[in-house]
Formats: sequence, structure tokens, C-alpha cells
Amino acid sequence: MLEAASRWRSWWRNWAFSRLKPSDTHRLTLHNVYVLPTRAGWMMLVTIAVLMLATINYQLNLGYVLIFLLIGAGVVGLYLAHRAMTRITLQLDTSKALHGIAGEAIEVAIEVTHNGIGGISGIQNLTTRFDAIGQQPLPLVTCETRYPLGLLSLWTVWRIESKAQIDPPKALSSAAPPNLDPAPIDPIRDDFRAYRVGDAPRDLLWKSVAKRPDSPSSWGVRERAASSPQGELLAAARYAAVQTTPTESQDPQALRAMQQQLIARDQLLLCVLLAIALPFFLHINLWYPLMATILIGARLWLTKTATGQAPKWLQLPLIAGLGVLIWLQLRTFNGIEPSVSACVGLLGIKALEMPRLRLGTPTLAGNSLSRDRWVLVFLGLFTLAAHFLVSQSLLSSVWVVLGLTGLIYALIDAHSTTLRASKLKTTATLVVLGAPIMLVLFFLFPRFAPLWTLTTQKTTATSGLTNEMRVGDISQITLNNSIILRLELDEPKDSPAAVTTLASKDIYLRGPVLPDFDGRTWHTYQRNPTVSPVMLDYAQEPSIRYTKIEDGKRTVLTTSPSLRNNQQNTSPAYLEAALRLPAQSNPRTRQYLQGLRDDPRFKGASPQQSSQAILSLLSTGGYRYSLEPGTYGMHSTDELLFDRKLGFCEHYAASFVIAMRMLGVPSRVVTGYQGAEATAAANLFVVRNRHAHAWAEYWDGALGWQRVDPTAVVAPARIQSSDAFNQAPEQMAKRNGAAWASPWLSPVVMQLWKARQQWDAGSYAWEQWMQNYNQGSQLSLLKRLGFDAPSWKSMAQLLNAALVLLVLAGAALYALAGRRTADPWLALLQAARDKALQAGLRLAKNASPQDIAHALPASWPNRTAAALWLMQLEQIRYSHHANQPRQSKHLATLKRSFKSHF
Amino acid sequence: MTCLLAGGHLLIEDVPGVGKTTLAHALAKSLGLRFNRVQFTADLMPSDLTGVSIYDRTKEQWIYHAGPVFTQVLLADEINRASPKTQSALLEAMEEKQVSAEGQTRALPAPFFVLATQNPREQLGTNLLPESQLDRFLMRLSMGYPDAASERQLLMGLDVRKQIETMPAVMNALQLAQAQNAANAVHASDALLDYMQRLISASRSGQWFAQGISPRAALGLLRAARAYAYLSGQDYVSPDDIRAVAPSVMCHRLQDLPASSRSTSNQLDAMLASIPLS
Repeated sequence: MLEAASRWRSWWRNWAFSRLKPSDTHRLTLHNVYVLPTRAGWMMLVTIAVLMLATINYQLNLGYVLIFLLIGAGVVGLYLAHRAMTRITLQLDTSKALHGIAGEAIEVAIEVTHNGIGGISGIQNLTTRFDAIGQQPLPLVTCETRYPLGLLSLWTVWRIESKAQIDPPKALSSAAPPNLDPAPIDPIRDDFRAYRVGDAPRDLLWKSVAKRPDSPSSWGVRERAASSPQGELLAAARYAAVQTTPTESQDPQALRAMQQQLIARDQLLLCVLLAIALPFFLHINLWYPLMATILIGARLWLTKTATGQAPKWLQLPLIAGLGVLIWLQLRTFNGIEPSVSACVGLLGIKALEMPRLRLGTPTLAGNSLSRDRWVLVFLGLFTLAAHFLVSQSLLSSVWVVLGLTGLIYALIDAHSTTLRASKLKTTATLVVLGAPIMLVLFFLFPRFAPLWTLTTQKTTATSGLTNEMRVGDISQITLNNSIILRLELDEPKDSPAAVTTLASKDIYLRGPVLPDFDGRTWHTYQRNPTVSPVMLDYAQEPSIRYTKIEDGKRTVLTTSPSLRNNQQNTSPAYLEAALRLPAQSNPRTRQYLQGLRDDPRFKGASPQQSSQAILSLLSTGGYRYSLEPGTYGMHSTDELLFDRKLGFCEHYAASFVIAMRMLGVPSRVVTGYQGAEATAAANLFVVRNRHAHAWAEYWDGALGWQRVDPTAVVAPARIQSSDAFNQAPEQMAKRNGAAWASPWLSPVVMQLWKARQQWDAGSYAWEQWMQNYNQGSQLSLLKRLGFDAPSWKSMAQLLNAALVLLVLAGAALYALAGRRTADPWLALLQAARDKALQAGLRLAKNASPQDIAHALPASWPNRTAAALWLMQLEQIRYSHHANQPRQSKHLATLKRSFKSHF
Repeated sequence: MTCLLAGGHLLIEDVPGVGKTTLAHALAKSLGLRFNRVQFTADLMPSDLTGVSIYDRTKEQWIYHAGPVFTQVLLADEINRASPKTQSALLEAMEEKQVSAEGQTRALPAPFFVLATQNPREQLGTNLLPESQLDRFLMRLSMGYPDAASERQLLMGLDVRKQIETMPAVMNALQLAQAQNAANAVHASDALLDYMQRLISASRSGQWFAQGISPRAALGLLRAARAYAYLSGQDYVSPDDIRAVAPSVMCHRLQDLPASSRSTSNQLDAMLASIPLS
């Protein structure tokens, strides 16, 4: 089977390459350099596809940035590699006779010249062996590079025209005529040779035999293509596009140097991974980034030790530990946070697991990464993308782009052997030239709706408001930092005090009101399906005019007490619904409140007093606020009040309402947003998903509906947090009497505070823009670009056109780069050279005036005058008179007379 | 000739019998300079070169007998056959233009021009000149075999030595010194110095050679280029002059990259071809 496949392959190769025109000089051009992804390249395509899916499903615009920048860098890398490759010329060294003896090795020398600025050349000696005698065609030569990222393999195949003259072996020639069809006497001896350091493991045969300690030298290695001249490659004339691969050398000093280089390469990769893991300290539970940091740090330390790798048994306990840790903390493996945590933890574990460099394997230096290191690179990419799941701030974006640059540098470092400065330059080129491609793709790549609903979104509410609320079902709220809306309070013309009275902690944005309760779920009145818009809940006079900016739409509104009390919700039927409770629910609460009602002191208490009683129970009963309270059962209020004493706003609001209803006071749950982030502008507030909140309202016959926030008594910090962090230092100083409020220091603090506010404002603007760039924005962009009726079709056209333009512009820039020169003298010289080249003369790139003058043929019209012109040109630059002011005039004269000579 | 005008010393490396000695002889003769030839052998001592003091009974004092080094053109034949000690004695003379022997320093006549010949490295019984001493030679040339026409003339012609003896001197030492001064005054413009600096730093960049050229060599390159320009009748140095003298000035001072399989001169040509004018 395997044999048949290899035969088929060899047949195919012969057929495919028989069309190649044989020659002794092989210039690499557009036509004979082929591109295919390497194994890592295919893996990268899969990775990009997975990242793309995730980006679409989570609607992460920044994910697109990451992916498209990667693609852009890849395209630029392909261009660089292709450019480097097409400057190579392979030439058979004909000074040595291609003469050999059948069955013995014959050496073929090939000169590899790179015509770029680097102008490097080298002789590559390839060996082969022929069994047949006479004129034998040489095997095909392939030349391959994976520069710069190792994702694409650029290769070419060369058929050498010259043939080798193979003589019969001496012993044979004197005896019988050579057996043209030699029987395989000892196939193993014939086809295999002893193991040599650096042989690829897949070429090893008889591994089980070879691994016996007593016979280390009997490892058989299939000498590829050794026996058949047409077969396979003669050897891979691997040529890293920018320079020759280090030749195999057994020199211990060279080996050590090479190893040092490889260790440095590993250290670089690990450092980049460390930098990728670090920012997670800000966003997810401390343990995972800590674990990653420690493990990567340990691996870094191990590179300096003699063993060079971590014990293998450590891996399983670490993975198990990571699983247990996630389960203990999050109680689920499904969802964003467990995935991100696992990703960060695995990065550390995989980094620690990275095997040590194999000692004494010079081929390792041949510009490639081992599979484990590639896995690390891909894991690093996933971790970078995962970063966007937890934060999309400006800082995160910058960090991720830097992280990607680091990974690209690590890849370039692994796939080229040039100097560090040139690697850095390549990295910068890839990123900077890849950026326009990224931008075009980012703006014009169509945005899809999520391909499938993510299961994660069901159990993890993202503080989104709906028309129902199930207490105890939502086991946790993921802190989502995305912006819901902005609130611009009008600068009141008559009373400037109005703005300052509304601190961010007093901002209650009212969403759906939920009076109906069926024992588990709170609903809108009579399950009214219309979602009520979010409005500022502010019952005092004078009313405040404000602008709500939601999804870029501005709505001007005015606060009004009627928001709480209107005709419908003050009707008797509504008030009755606001008293309804399932009969058997929460028996212990009912019993406790019955005791309260029986208390003589409490007889005839007003609704306000009832509310006070319940609030005092909440404030003194040792209740705690937690976003991860776990799942509550059937009698959630009982559980909350008497057993667990742990919950967040929804739990406390619901329990408060249930208790009030048990005391006979109509009450309801209100959901919405509380608090807002202050910005540098005093009247502008930003409301984010994490401000989502639930509170309660009870009916006081005389005053109407009254707002009570039970969470405020349990956790005052929750209500004031955004306020406390965003207060101007002056106010905080006044309150705290802080020492730094001294007159000479406070300006500095003020400046710092302002700078922070500005950064925040910029970051919010960035985040909002990033998250709101969707189909609509794309279509309006098209409209602005002049499309009357933008559609997907026009978008595709534009994307296509933009990419083509970009490629053309890049090519044109490259083509012009050689010609464009700021120096007028050089420009004139260049023009003369161009004319000479057009006339068919051969001139070096840096031909001097004298070179051109000498090259001018006798047939050149008025050759002497042209030569004189060139001499004058030379004198302008190099004679005593150079640098004198009139030289520029002189140059202009020469320029005018240029046409008459050339 | 360029080398002589530039005030430097010349190293000729080639197989025996291609006319190294004849060249030196002809040069000295036509310039009207004093000429001495020393055949370097393994047992040649420094004092054989610099001279010794011998007690003169008649005068009852030590008389210094100047060695062959006290001349204007010295042909040091097969310099790499001598011991390093002797080589360095000569090299001191070359660099300092003076000889220190027996506690006394004696100045050498001016102009002082050393023409050393060297056999190719592979030959037996040779002591390679270390890099530091190679650096003292401004230029290293290779004569090469004569082309067919010249060889024919050679085979048909008179005895070369006789020709040299009958050759008239075309200038004297004073004129040579003037010529040297004039050559040194040839103008080198800023643009040219820029170009030279590019060349020098390219040779040191590690991209072309393992070791680039020293500042002394850079100075030598400029001096040689000036002399070359002077000889071709220009009063300024052009990049072509630099390119013309670069192989002979630079080749023996450069060290190939370990991976390079091109010869030093080929690599240098490639480097020269890659550096843009300025």
C-alpha cells in the first residue's frame, strides 16, 4: 500500500516536472517559484478559522483586528519571501567534471547567488549515487524557504541539464559486463546507512532494534533517492531566502554556539507568552494568570539549567489541578470565564511542558520550530484573542497588538538567521505594511450575525434587561463592561445647582417594572410584552432635562414623577396584583413576619414603617453582597434571609418585595441601571452593562409609589462605588481631610485626575466605537463613500477593489523605490544609466559616470560628447568645485543637455 | 607605481618565475633609485637585514656596517620563508622608516619602498604573515601569468636583465618626492568620502566579511586612490579610482565569512557592486 503510494508519488513527480525545461542555470522567477502552506501554515489556517468563528459569534470587532492584522502580516511576509526568493540564481558549478563511478557517491556543486543588496553566494555540495552507467541525468533539485514566518513554504524545482558520466566500477569492468539489472542482493545494506546525528526521526527504520542499548550504531536510515537517479530529491538544497543554512558541522564550538542561539530563541518565545499572560491579572481571577506566570517563569529558568525540561509526570496533575480550580471557583466549564481561565492556565502548562532542545542536532538550527513550539504559538494566539472576551478597552487593544507583534517577532526569529536588527526591521515591516490590509478588511469585511446562539449566554446573563426576572436562576452575573448608553444632563440655565445635586449614585435609570410574581419569575403587569425604554427615575422638582445617547441616537427627555405613578399602575386591579403571592411559598419568612405583625408595637404601622422594619433586618442581619451567590431553590427568600445571607441586587429586591407583600403593602420589583461613570465633562455620564440593577417600590397611599433600594443597606459600596472612584480629588480631599490636599500639591493631583479622566473618556469612546461598528455602520460608511443604495454586493466590490488597489500600490511603491532618489545628481546619473540600459548595455546598479562612459559603444551617436557630458557630471560631484553654489546651476545646464546625448 | 606614489609598501603574491623581481628591478632603475635585494630564507637573522657593528682594529672602534635595508627600493624576496623575528624587523623599518639596532635608531633614506614577494600559502616551508603585518603593506598584488601575446614577446625577446641595465632613469628621487606630494594633494570631495565610508562600514558590517578593514587600511585606501587618480591625470578622486585600487588594498586585510565559499576578491567585487554612489 505504502509502496504503491510512493510509486504513484514518484510517477506524479516525474510527470509533473518532466515539463520543466532543463538548464544549467536556474533563475528563480515568478513562474517557477511555487507557494504552499507548510504543516504549521495549515494549522494556522484552522486557527484563523476558529478565531473567526469565535469573533463572529461573540461579535468582537477587536477579534477582527487581531485576525486581519495576522493575515496582513502573512501577506506581507509572503511578498517579502517571494521577493527574496526571486533574486536567487542557482548555477551548476561546471568547473568540476561530473564524473563518477557506479555505486559510489558523486558530488555535485551548485552555486547559489542572491542578487539582492545582501549579495551573498555560496556553494552547496549535493551528493548522489548512481547504479547505472553511462550518461545519467542528475536528480531534481528543490530549493525551499519558510522565511519569514514559517507558515508558507516557497519552493522551486530545477532540472539540471548537464548529465553525469558514470563509469563502471573497476572490479566489474575488468570482469563481466555490468549487470544492468542488478538483483537486490542485500536490500537493507543497499538502501540504508547508519544513523547520523540530525536524521529526521521519520526516516528511522528498525526503531525497536535500534533502541536496544547494545546496538546504537545499527539505526537504519533510508537514504532518500539514493538509488534511483530520477527519484525524489537529490537532497534538499534548502536555502533560507536571505542566507544559506548553517552547514552541518561537527565542530563542538559551532554546535554550542548554535545551541545558545536556540536557547535564546526559546527564551524569546517564553517572554512573549509571559507578556501575553500578564494583563489577565486585571480581568480574571488572580489564580490563572498567576499559574501561567509561575509556570512560564519556571520554564524560562529551566532553559538555563542542565536538564532543560520539566519532568513529564508534572503535566497531568497540573491539568487536573487547573480543572479542579475552575470547577471550585466557577462551578461550570461552560461559558466565557471558564474558557478564558482554562486558556490562560493551559498556556502556562503547555509552556512548562515544552521539551528541551535535543542536544547535538545541528539540523534543528535549520530554521524551523518544533511542533511543541508551534502549539505554543497557536495557544498564544488563542490567549490573545481570549483577552478580548474579558476586556475591549483601548489598553487591551494596544496590548494585544503588541503581543501579536511579539509573536510575529518570535516566529521571524525562528525562521531566519540574520542579525537581530534585521529581524526587528522585518517585524516592523510586516506589522506596518500589514496594517493597511487589516484596516481595509476591518472596515469592509461583512459583519455577520452570530452563526448559532451560544449556550453560554443562557446561564450567564450579561446584565441585559428583559421583561422577566427569575430570582436564583441566574447564578452569576458576568461583569460586562460594555456601554449601554450615555446620559447628558442639560446645563440648566436657571438653576446651575441641578447638575451637582445629581451625583452618579443618585442616577437610577428605570427599565422594565415587574409586579407579577408566580413564585419563581417576576413579570411585567399582565405579561405586557413591550419593553419599556430606559428613563431617568427622578421624582423631585424641578425636573431635569437630559439627553439619552443610545446606539448613537440622541433622545431629549425630561424627568417626571408620573413615571412612577400613572393611571394604570395606581388602579385597584394593579395594586391587587402587587399584593399577590403564591400560597405556599417561603413559609419561614411568612412565619417570621407574622410574628412581627403580631407585635403590639407594630400595630397599625404605616407602609413606610414596614419598609423600615425590613430594611433594618437586612442591614443588621449580617447579609452580604456577592455576584456569585450560587443557585437558589424554591423558597428563595427563606434561603436568603435565614440560611445563606448571600445575594446580589435581584435577590434583595425580590425578597424585600415578597416581605412587603406579606406585610400587606403593595410593592413591585423595578429593574434598570443604577449609578453611572462620571466623565471629564461634569454633565456627561456613561452607563454600562455592569450598572444593571434591581430595586423595589412600595405603595404608600398618600405619596404614591416610593423607591427603596434594599441593596443599598446591605452593600452601600455597590451603590456608591462608581461615585467613590470617580469623584474629583478636591471633593474627596474635603471629605477625607487628606494630606495631599495641600495647596501646592493639589494642582498636580488635579492634573493627574484630569489626565486620567481624559484617558478614560478616550478609552470609552474607543470601546463604544469598536463595539458599535456593525452592519449599519458599514452601510453608512458606503453611503458616505458615494454608493446610493449600499448592499452586500457593493460592499464586496469595494472590498475587492480596495484590496487590489492596495496590492497594486504596494507593488508600485516597491518598483519605484529603486528609482526614486532625492538627490538630483544621482537622479541624473540614474537617467543616463537607464538610457544606456535601454540601448542594451550592461551596467551595474551603482555604475559611475566613468563606467557608463566606458560602456558606451562606438555606434553611440556622438559618443565623445556623451562621454564628455558624463565627465562633467562626475566633476560636479567630485572635483574641487563640488559643494560650491554654482554647481547646482551647472547641474541644471547638464540636465538640459541630457536629451541631446542620450 | 600607485603604491609607490602613495608612499606605501607592496606585497606581491604569486608563484615563482612570473617576474616579480624583474618588476622591482625595473621600477627602481627607471626611477633612479638605489636598489637592494634580499633573499629571505629560514635562517636569515634580523641583523643580516639591518646591519651589524664590527670592531675595527685600525680605528679602534665599533663601526656600524649598514645592512641591505638602507636603500631606497628594497626587494624582500619570498618574505614568508623567513622567521617571524626577521619579518618583524623588516616591518618595523617599513612602518617607522627607521631601524633600531644595538640601541641606536637610524633613519632610512627617503623614499623608502619595500617590495616584498610572497609565495602562495600552500607552499611548504613558509611562515604566514600574521594579519597585523599584512596590514602594513598598502597593497597586495598578484602578477598572474602573462597573456599569450606577451608571453610570445617574452620568448622572442632579449635577455630581460640586459634590457633593465640599459634602461634610462626617467626621474630621480627628488622628482619622486614631488610627485608623491602632488598625489597626496589630489582632491577628495565630501561625496567621495561618504562613498568611502559606506564601503568601509559595509566591510565591517559582518554581512560580507568576518572582519572588515582597519582605519589604517581606510587611510591607505584613500592614499592609494589619490595616487591612482594622479597617475590617470585627474586632480580629484572619483569612485572609480576607489574601485580600481580597492581589491589590491583591501583583499589581504579582509577575512572571509566562515560560510562563504566565494573567494575574497569575488566577495569584494560583489560588495563593491552593491554599494550605491553618493
